[in-house]
Amino acid sequence: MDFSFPEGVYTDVRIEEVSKTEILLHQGKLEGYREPNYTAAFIRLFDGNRWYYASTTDLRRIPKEIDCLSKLCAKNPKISEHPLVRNFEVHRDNTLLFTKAANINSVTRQEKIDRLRSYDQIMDEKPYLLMRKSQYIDEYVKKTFISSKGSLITFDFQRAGIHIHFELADGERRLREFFQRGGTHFSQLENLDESLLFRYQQACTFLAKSEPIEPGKWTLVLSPEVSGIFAHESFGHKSESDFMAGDLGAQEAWKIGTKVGSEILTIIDSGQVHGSGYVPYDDEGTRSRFTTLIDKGVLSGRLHSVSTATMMDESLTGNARAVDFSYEPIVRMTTTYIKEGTQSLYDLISDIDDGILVESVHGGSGMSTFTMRPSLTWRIRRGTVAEPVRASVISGTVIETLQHIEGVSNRLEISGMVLGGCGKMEQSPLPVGFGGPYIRVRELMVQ
Amino acid sequence: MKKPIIEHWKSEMEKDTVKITQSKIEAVKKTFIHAVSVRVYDGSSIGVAGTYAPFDEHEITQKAMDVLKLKIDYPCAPTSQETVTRSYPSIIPNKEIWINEAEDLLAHLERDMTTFQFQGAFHHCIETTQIANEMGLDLKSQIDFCDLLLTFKSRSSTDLVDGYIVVKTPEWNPKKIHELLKKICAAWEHEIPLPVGKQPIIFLSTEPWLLSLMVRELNADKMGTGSSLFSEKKHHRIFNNRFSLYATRNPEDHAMIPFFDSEGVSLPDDQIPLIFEGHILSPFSDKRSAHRYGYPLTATAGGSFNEIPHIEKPELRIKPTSKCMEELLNSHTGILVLVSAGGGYAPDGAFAIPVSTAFLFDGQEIVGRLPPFNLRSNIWKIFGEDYLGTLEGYLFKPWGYRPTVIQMELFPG
Repeated sequence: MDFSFPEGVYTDVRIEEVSKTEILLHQGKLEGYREPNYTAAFIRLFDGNRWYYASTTDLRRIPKEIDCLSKLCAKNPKISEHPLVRNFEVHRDNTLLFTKAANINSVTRQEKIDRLRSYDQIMDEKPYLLMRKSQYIDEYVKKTFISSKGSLITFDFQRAGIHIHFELADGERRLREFFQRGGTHFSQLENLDESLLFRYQQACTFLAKSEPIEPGKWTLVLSPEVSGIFAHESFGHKSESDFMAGDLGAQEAWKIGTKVGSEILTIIDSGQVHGSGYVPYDDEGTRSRFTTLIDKGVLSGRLHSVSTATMMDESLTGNARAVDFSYEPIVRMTTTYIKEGTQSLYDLISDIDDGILVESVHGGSGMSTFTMRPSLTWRIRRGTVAEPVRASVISGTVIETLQHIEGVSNRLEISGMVLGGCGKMEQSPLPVGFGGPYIRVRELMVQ
Repeated sequence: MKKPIIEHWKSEMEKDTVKITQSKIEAVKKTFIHAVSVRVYDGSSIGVAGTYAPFDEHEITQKAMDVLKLKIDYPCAPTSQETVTRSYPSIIPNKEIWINEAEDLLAHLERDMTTFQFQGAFHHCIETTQIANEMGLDLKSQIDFCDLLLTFKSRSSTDLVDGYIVVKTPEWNPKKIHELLKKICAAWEHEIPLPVGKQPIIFLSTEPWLLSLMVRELNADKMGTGSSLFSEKKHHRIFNNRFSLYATRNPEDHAMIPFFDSEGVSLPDDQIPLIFEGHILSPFSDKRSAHRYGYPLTATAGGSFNEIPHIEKPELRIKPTSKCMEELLNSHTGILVLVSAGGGYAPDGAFAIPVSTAFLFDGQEIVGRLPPFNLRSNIWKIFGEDYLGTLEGYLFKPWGYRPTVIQMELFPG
């Protein structure tokens, strides 16, 4: 693909070829099916002062869109010397991992429906189960990035997953819960019967026996799934430097080298990790890499676009991402996880006299105060997991909570959301990965 | 086999955006997205396929026919015999003037509020939606409005964001946005202690958590399967008799959506009560759930242009009870919640939410900023004994449309 780029401005073009499959079974009946498939482009021009953006679903219009935007720009003969433009990486690469049999589109429509139906049927006529919705989703994306500095990059990524949402009731007691599993290949969605049944049985126990927790500050043990969401909400968003660029007060408060967490805490973000957050290049052509955000409790990095890295005079990280072809890249996470420690799960729990184990959450939010909505949650009494308990929200301030991490287990698990994703400003949902080991945190507010 | 009925859905979104970083315009964006889909109905099943322009209608129709073969359960007829076109124009200047005025607004904000930084985006959107079929249906809507999201942050704060305003309005009025932010930022600078005990809490209609349980539990599929908290309570009075809730597609309710839903269903007066004077009247539905459980249609089917229509989160509004904020507060001060996140309702209706930015409000003005705190209650109290009412109009036009006041216990954060 070759475009004539105007003089006196920096230009890049991102072309996205997207195909998806979405299947919905409601109460066992096929109620939804779609296979969206499209190609579209996002175009950016920079004149040294302001960005100009356009998007189009007609690739033939790209030269015309470049021309229209170019007329809005104030031409700058020295644009190539602008620090931001100088900072853009230039790559010529073709990284297509999901071709031929590895491509999710090589699986037939019927195979996808049958796979979903096989799990949905497991839940048929289960006691206490009043409603269920089972969804299959896959997505293959091929991106081509071309810039006036000479980049020409093509790469792809894909994901597939199932999500079984179920609603249980017993008299006045109610519970909504889900089971999900995702991966980059269809084969990763095999042999999940036992895991699904286990989640259902856990939910039944919770429905029958859970009692409200007394509101207050508690010591919590978070499962790998929850610790991943914790890392994302508590510190991941705080690491997105677009909130900080140009704000000297915030930069001073979050200076690299500042001790921000306990010595056993290390948090990493990387687009190189295979899964929901895998992107070998970001949406402005920067190669993804491993960025250590917190190293043994010390702030050691943050997430950047070219713009924020230039403003803050820091290295690029490959975190400029757009939710789709109609949006500009902004600073986002990829796969964010807490690095494993040395303790066993038994070590984390055995000396807790009275605490809480959080097995699953239904999302969260994060800025200076982060929150998570707990679902399957258990009391820990005298070092053992005891009865289920109910709570509406777990919250804490980032600054205090990271210091309160007092245990990290030795097994890392990475996962991601099958449905939905991360939201920021108007761009949602962006697929991201998250993960961690079991972690133990003291003095979290539970209510 | 009977010939399937064919229906066309078309949507066009034209949007000019100015993106704001560090109180300045960082970028200007032009978006135009034209999407089409074809739906085919055979009386018991549906097939849908769609794409973005440029498109080949024959190819989309063939794909929809192909999906129809999957026998997706849809025992409902397409909407028929209705031809209506409605257009809601805006009072927004042309693009060049609008961008210049946005730039002026930011310059004024920076000049008058030197200790604050602003980020966000202003959008001018024109959304056109059309549904037409062989059964005499032809509905077309065009809505023209401004969508503003502006976050603010004090330069002295170590937080990344201290608060934000969201405004959706057909009227671009930078002067009023400036005045509003001046009020909020001035109050932010003035920290005051947290009142103790139960207080009147003022929730804006843009606050997503207060009505989140209604969105979840008044869903027709949940009500019909018996899994809703309200399944056994239809026609019972379970809330305060001053509390009425309705689903709306009326632009006067700030619902910037077409007057018809994705199944072509529209409503008399563009609204329908779901809870009336404390009684549960009806869940919100789409054609399939209404057919399955015998509920009325509420024009709340949604979904993307290329999806099979399904129940979607509706625009819910509480019926106003008073024209005067001081009356709602009973001459007491209230607490205006600006930023709350991540909490909400547990399955049993228990409510808890951390509030990170809130102000003391004296009935007319924002007095000062409160430290972070937590709110706790439950759905039965919130819209029962602790419901004080909902204001008709704005707190400060064009922001703060129809705030609701609830007595709640607050706890230090």
